[in-house]
Order: sequence, then C-alpha cells, then structure tokens
Amino acid sequence: MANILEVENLSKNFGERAAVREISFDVAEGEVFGLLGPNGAGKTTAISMLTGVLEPTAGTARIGGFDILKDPLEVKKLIGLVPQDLALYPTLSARANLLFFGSLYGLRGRELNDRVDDVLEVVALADRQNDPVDKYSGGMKRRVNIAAGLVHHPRLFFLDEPTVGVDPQSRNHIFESVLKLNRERGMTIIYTSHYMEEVELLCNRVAIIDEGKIIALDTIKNLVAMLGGGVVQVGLRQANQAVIQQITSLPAVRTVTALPVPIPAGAEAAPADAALLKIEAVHSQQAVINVIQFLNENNLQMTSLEILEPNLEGVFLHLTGRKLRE
Amino acid sequence: MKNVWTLTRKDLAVFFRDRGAMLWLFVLPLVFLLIFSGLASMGFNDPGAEAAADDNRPPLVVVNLDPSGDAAALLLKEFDQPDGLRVIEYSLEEARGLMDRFKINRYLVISEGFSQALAEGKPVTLSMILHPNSDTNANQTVLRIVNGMAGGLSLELQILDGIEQMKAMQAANPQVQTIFDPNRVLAQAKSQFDQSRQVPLISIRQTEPLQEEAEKVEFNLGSSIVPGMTVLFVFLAASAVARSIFDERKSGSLRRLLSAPLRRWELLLGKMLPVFLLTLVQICVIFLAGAILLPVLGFGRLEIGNAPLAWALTSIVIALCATALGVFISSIARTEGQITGLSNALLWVAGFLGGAIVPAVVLASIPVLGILSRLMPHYWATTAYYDILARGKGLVDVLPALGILLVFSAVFFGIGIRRFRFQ
Repeated sequence: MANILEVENLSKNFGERAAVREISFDVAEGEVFGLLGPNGAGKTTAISMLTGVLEPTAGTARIGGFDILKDPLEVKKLIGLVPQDLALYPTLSARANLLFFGSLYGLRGRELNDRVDDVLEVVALADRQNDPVDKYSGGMKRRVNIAAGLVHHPRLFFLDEPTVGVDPQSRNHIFESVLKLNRERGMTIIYTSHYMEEVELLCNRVAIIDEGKIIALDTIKNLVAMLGGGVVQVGLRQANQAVIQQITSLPAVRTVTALPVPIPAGAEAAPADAALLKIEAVHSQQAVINVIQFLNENNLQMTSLEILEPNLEGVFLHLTGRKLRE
Repeated sequence: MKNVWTLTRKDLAVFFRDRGAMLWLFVLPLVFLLIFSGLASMGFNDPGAEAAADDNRPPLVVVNLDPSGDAAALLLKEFDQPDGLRVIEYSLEEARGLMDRFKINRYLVISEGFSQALAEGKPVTLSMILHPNSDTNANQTVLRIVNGMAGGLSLELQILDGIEQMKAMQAANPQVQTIFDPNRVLAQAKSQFDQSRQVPLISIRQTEPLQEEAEKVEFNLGSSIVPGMTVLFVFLAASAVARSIFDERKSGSLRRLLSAPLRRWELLLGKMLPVFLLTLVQICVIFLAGAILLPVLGFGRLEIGNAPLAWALTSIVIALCATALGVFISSIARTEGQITGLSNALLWVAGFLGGAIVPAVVLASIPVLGILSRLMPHYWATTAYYDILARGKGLVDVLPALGILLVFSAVFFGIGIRRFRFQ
C-alpha cells in the first residue's frame, strides 16, 4: 500500500515550550493508525499541524502527495477532522450542521443531500436529523461531530479523542463506525487517544507520544513484545548497588533498572535508601517468586509490587516510568 | 466567494434561532428610541413655570446684550404683551448652561449695539438659538410671535424714521411750507411701510447652539434622536462580530473551519458579512420605526432628508465601520468578559462621547469632551446623519465624515487582521 501520509521532522513550539519535537512517521492508505499518549503529550498539536489548523515551527508532511505547507487547500480537500471539542452549531439541526460543513467542501444540491443522508446512516441519527443539536445527548452530539468530519468522504480521517465524555453505549457505536469506515470504505484513519483499550481495539499500528516526541512506533503486537516475558516493578525500603546486582543474577530475570522513587504523600523527599526497581523478566511469574524469595532470605522489606500486563499501558510504563493517565 | 456566502448563510441561520440576539439587534434599539424620544419631548422645562402658573403665554428666554439700548427695551416691552410672550431674561452664560442641561428649548439673543444700529437705520439681526432636540411646532409658534412683534417694531421704527427724515428736511428748509402736506406724509409713510415689508430692519436668524455660521436649520425630534440611537446600536454590531468569532473559537468549530478548504480571508469575510447585512437591516428597521412610530406617538416626524443616496451610503459606511471594529475587538479580546467589557464601553462611553446619546453640539461646550468626541467613529457617524436629516445637506457635504469613517474602518480591519489569532 502506498503511503497517504508522510511526516518529516514536524515540530511546534509555543514560545519557549516545545509541544511537538521532530516527529516523523508514515501512514499507509487504508490503515488505522493510533497516536497514543497522556494528556498534554502533543497529540492534538500534531494533528492540528497535519490538518492545517496550526503552522509547524519546523518540518513538514505530505498528504496524498501534497505538501501541507505548499498546497494546504489541496490537502484540506483530502482530509476530515473530528476535533476533541463538539465543533457544532447547537441551535441548528444535525442535518443543517452537516449541510453546512458539506457545502464548505464544494458539495451542492442532490450530491450534498445524498452525502448527508449517507453519514446520518453511518452514525445512526437519521431519525433525529431535524432536531436541534442542543437537544441531543452527549453521545449523540459526539456522533454528529463525527458525521460532520465525514460528510465530504475524506481519504484521510483524523479523530482526535472522539470518545471524551461519552457513555459506554455511544463509545461502542463510535468504535463500530470507525471500523466500518475503514473496512467497508477503505478510509485511512488516524485516531488519537489516551485510552489504551481504544487504540488496541481499533489500530493496526501505534505511535506512542510523550512530551512531544514519538518514543515508540510499531504494531501493537511488536510493541507489547518489547515487554518480553513481562515487567515487574518492585519497591524496596532499603537497597543498594549490591542488592540490584544480586537480583539481576536471579533465574528468570533479564535486566534490572533503578527508577526514581516516588515521593510519599505528605513527605518532602523520598526516603534516602528506598529504591524502585524495574525488572524485565524472561518469565514474569517465575521472576516474582525468585525476587520475593531473595528479599525474604536477605531480610529486605518490600514496599510495593506490580506486574505489568503485556499491553500498551505496560509498554508506556516500561518506556517512561509513568502511567498513561497519571 | 461561494465559501463566504456559505458561512454567511450559516451565521444568519444561527442568528435567527437566537432570540436574545434578535432582541439586542432589533427590539432594544426601538425601546431605547421610544424612551429617549419620550424623555426628550418632556425633558424641556418652561423656565419660571412655577412662578407664573397662571400665565399661559409661551415663555421666551432673552439674552439682552444691549441692556441700555432704547430699541432693545422697546422690543422686550413689545414681546411682553398680554397676547405676546412671557419674557425671562438671562445672561448668555446662564442661557447656554440651561440649554446644555436640557432646561430650555430656545433663547433669543439681542446683539450688542442693537439699538444704535436701529437708530442709524441699519438692519439688525436677532439670533434665535434652538436646541437640536426641541419640538419643532413649539419653536415655530414662538418664532411666529417673535417675527410678528419684531416686524411690527421694525415697521414702526422705519415709519418714524421716515417722518423724522421729513422733519429734518423741514428744519433745513423753513421757507418751504409744503413738506408737511398730508399727501406727502402719507406717501412717505406708505413708502417706508413697503420698504419695511421687503427689507425689514429687524430680522431673525435661527441657529443651533455654538454654530457660528448662520444657516436655516429644520429640527424635529425624530431627526434628532433617531440618528443617535441608530449609531449607538449599530456599533453594537462590533461586539456581535467579536462574539461570533469568540464562540467559534470556544466551541472548537473554528478549528474545524480552519481544517476545511477555506482561505483565511474567506473565513474572516464570512464572519463579517452576516453582521454587516444584519446591521443594514437594523438601520432600516430603526429608521422605519422612526418614520412610522414617532409621529403616531407625537414625538416628531422622521425623514431621510433630501439626499436618500447620501443616507444609504452613510448607512453602508457606518455598518462597515462597526463590523471592522468587531474584527479589531476579536483580535484583542481574549475572554468573553473582555468582549462584554469592550461592548459596554462601546455602547455607553464611546456612544456618549460620540454624540449618540447627547448631541455632540452639547458636548462641544466642554473643551475636553469636544476633542474626545471627535476621536470616536460614533461622532462622525452621527454628524453625517445629522447633516443629512436635520441640516438638509447632501452627499458631497457628508463625504469628509464618510472618509474619516472609512479611515477608521481601514485601521480597525488592518489591526484586526494583523493581530487575529486563527490558532
């Protein structure tokens, strides 16, 4: 498959603060590509540059062969955006909103009406299409928000955190719509979220973004494989370099890394001798048994134990030492 | 341009579903128009009304700058007849102060050297100063009486002058006995009478306060209040533009619009055009109400003057200026509170200083306010309307004011575009 999106060293600074730092990635036509990262990681800024809302500080990207800086209008004809906000006119009906957004893409008359009918079917709101949007539930508004980005049948569809504040039923409906658009219409989708489960469910490949940088990019299978046999995090009241070396030499343990110790609530600093160890294991359960046995034998007190699941949350924790929703 | 029209239609659709916005744009100006017209029609007190409750004669404030003159005293005596006017004398400063405070409708100024000029047979002019908001009918009544009485005095003085001339001729030629021939006296009196009718010794000129050049002005309440109210509320359109752009930004729809194949100038124009069109409709509604409602309520009659093209062009330029001001506000206001604050400042402070609430001629009597008012686009807008409606001027006469409004528009739009935060 040819690439519909090619991003090259895209950066965005707001004053002194770098929101996105030299990100590069490609997305193939027909792919569902995920941008996963915590709030404030730079996902929305990245999407905003790709959709022409923000001008990059450096770097560029090509969409459908058009450069986003040189041919912004051609790029915009190819893309659809579902912003995080409910970017709708609440006093107008869903149909009036969709007719308006469709006509911005040059659609007129019968073609426009047919497209509106089509997307109303996709988001299952045909029966309420003439009600003002402000009479809809939160989930229904989200569905109209998605429809507004779809009405002109974009080749590349950006969904920026489309399920924020949505009830589980509407969330499932949104997932179904996204998968349907991809499978039945071959639409390329870029989906940003800080919900690991959504990205795992929908996306073929994922870029994990943190502090404006892409820290990992691969298929979900390959990303999870980074965890190997699993990752265990152990907190110790007292530990030194010798203890870390001894744990490293235990059976089923591959590597041990000392992480910064979290400061307990109410304290000004972490205890001086305390340690937080990230243990990459050949086999996580066997490694946990061996570590606990070693700690008991050496009379070392354990303060926390966490076995990371083989999922994207674990990958993020493994890569950053932080949880996605911290 | 298709995109501009698409945006315009959307904003108009949103507007017509917003009852609050409709209230602001159409109903509130009419309410204010009626209130201000009512207040203005009742706002003038007859000076000394309490002191002379049993005196039904129309009051006339007189500023006598010729207090020792015989003719001036004679004129005042002539006015103060049982079937004449109730004369109340004030100094010039007092009279101006009373008019500035809306306490009197008009005052008559007897100029310095009035009696001397008459004694020499030279024509003299009395100045009747009329407040722009004064009632035309009442003004006409008083003017008719003043004209009649001044004309009578003028006639009397001119005939007496003629007879005095005959007397002087007799004294100079005592040998000639036929000068006092009755037929000759009658012929001289008739000649003086005709001359007095054609070229009266005493004439009246009407003018508005502080207007230096003499000109015939035709005031009525409608043509005085409606322009001010129109300008006051048309400039609220600025806040409508700013709020509309702010709402797009706040809801996130601006982000969606920016991701659509629109040029940025199309986007801005698409936000301005609907407000511009609505403002033109608003002007028509206010003027239509002024023309229909005010006469029904007895608050005077509104006409659009002798130059409808000048009126139309002025309305378009004012609407353009107000809309450009909206882009300027949207570029500097970062919060809804700032937009509200600026809107209130525009409505009341700039409206007041610009002569939309109190006529600029009144503000001009206070030096600082006089200068400040010229810095407000409202001033030039109300001036242009007053010129067309109240002073009977045409397109050429209002071009300077329209030019200044266009400069204001260009500055507002230029700064607005430069500072506009699309992101």
